[in-house]
Amino acid sequence: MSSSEAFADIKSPVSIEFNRKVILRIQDITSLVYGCGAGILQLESLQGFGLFAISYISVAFVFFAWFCHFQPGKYFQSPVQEVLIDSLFRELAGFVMAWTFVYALLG
Amino acid sequence: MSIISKVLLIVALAQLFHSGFSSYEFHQLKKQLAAGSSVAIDQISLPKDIRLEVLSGLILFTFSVFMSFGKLTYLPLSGKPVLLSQHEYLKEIDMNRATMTNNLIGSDPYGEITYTPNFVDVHAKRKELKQWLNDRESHDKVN
Amino acid sequence: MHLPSLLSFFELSKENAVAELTLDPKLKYWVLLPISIVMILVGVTRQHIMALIGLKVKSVPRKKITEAQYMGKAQSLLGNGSNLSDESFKTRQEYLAQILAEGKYVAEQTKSDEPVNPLNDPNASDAMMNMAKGNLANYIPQTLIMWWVNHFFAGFVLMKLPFPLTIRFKEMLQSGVMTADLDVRWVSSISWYFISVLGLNPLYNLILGNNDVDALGMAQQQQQLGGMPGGPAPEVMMKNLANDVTIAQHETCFKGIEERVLKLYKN
Repeated sequence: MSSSEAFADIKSPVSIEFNRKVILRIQDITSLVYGCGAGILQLESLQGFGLFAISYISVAFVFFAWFCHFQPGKYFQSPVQEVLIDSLFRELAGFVMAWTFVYALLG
Repeated sequence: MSIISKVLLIVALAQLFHSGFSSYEFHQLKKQLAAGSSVAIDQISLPKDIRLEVLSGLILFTFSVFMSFGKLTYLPLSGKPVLLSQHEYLKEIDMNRATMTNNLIGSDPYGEITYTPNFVDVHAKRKELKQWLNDRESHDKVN
Repeated sequence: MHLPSLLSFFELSKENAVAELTLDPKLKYWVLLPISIVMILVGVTRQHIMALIGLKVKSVPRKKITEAQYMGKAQSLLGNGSNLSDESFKTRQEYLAQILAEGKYVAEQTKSDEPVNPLNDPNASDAMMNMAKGNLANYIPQTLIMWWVNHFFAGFVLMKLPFPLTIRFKEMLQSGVMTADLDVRWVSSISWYFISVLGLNPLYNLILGNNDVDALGMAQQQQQLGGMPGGPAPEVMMKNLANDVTIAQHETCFKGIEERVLKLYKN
């Protein structure tokens, strides 16, 4: 029956929104603080972006492991898209801002 | 849970501030040395202890952030006010799973649609009740 | 503007051959920090101003709402009709088809076929006004800060970027610094403005919390408003809906529901 499949994967918009806010908050705060860390270490060019990549991916990994119990499909419609790609440039910009700021303050 | 998170946050911030200040002093010193002497300044990089301090500060901070989101707890709307938990940090998105939380706490998010007392025929209900009471009285008399 | 200017002592370092400048440390405290603080405060203020000017309860005539809701009813019957049993679906289908076909709840009969000027409709102009206000609240502070930064903090090198940029950025980021050969990594204050404009979103999210409830309420209001200006006339839409409802195929979800529920909650 067609409607049985249609109703089996109804998603709860409240839960989607809640989960999105949690991951966004974690990523915002970590990217800013890792930017500060990069500034303190006085990292330059590729090293800094490398720190961003490492921190971004490891935070996402810890998130998947700890909060999603390795089953991100239960909490996100398309986990990789929502956790890793959607907020990439926003977090990169935040990271670069904090990095530049602390770099200039300390240097 | 949240106390650990706060303690970690304080430690991490203290480490970051301290290492930041150390790094600042180090770079000031380096600049002054560069002005005055002929030592190969560029070879000197940030001391290892400062770097380790930054790293530990960052890692502790990450854990503190993750710990600040405790497991979700709910207060039931009726019954004893006990904190209920499903041992989850996030909410499941499948509707049939998400409604379990509502069932747990006795909440009905669609109540404004399904709760329709204005559709009830009060007069009929009262009549029914009166009938029932009368029946019971007569029943009692018989016994 | 009297501000400490940069000292001129160049030194080519061996590895990356970036000219080393010694900047007055006061630059950090009197330029970098003020710009950052002002940008954050302006963001916070803008948020509050938006909340103030956006908060307005729209009033729509009752007839309009009735019209929109009958159309919504037909649409939800088409979309979610399978939740009903055959009998109740048929009742609704007959009733809605009849009501919509005869146009009982059309709010106002349009006299002619000429399209109404959307500017005359008070609701539409209201929506446009809100949009304009939102845009203004975004652009005015940005322009103001940019002017402020350009006016007060122009003409000197403020900081060194931690990453190299291509030479194309030189003109934009080193505006007002009259050095032809200076590396692009040394930038003036306007570039700090650009970096913070791009990077402040996460910070706003952290310090302002979230106001998604407002967004939801706004979306609901928008929906309530019904037809947007320039769309087809409600009568026509009703006729179309009536046709759709009449020919709608129905398949109830109650068929075999017990097995499906058990299957769903099995694990």
